[in-house]
Amino acid sequence: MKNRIRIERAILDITQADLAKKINVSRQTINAIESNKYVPSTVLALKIARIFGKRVEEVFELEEND
Amino acid sequence: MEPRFLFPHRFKLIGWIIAIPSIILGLLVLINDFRFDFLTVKVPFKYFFDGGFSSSDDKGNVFSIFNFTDEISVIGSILGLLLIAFSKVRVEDEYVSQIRLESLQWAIYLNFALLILATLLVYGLAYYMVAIYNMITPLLFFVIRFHYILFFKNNEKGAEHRPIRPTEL
Repeated sequence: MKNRIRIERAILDITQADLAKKINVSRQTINAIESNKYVPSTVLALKIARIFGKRVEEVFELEEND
Repeated sequence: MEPRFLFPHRFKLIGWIIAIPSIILGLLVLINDFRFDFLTVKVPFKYFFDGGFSSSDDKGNVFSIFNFTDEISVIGSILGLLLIAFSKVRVEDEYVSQIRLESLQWAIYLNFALLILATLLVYGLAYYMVAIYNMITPLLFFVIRFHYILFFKNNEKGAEHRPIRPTEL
């Protein structure tokens, strides 16, 4: 699964730590999601999308092999 | 999702405080046959589960004399490592849960792979030592692997704190 978290973060001008704090996860978690090492749960994906004011599909996108 | 069966975060520090001296004490017992004299206790019953190579100093009596140094070190190591392993980290989230689970599986694989190897290569009294070390190695491997992944491996590229500006993309 691809995601646009890094880009959306840049638009809001917030760090990984800022985003992590807003949704009550660790900074490592955001880092792992951004570097495609971890696929977040639905709950977490919804929370992330809400921070960016977008729908989940606009932040996360399925890839060919998913 | 609330993680279940975990201790509060503050128990982690308590775990380290118990585990490190206990493990050092345990190694001293194994390598130097170290004993604290004040832990020698005369218990008012015959020890029933003495299979022949225990540390009981007077067999066949109604009293048994025991030194509890090794018991303290084993129990301390196990309790301490359990607290370190299964206390919540500061921010316990779903990613941490996954790392925890993966590390546990990894530690069990490594432990039993080493045990099979030791079974093939080690004989006699030395094999008895393998069994002793094996009491705490699953927890030890887990603790090392879990903390390595969470606090070291994941910080290599993640040191980036400033977000990338849209103009840089």
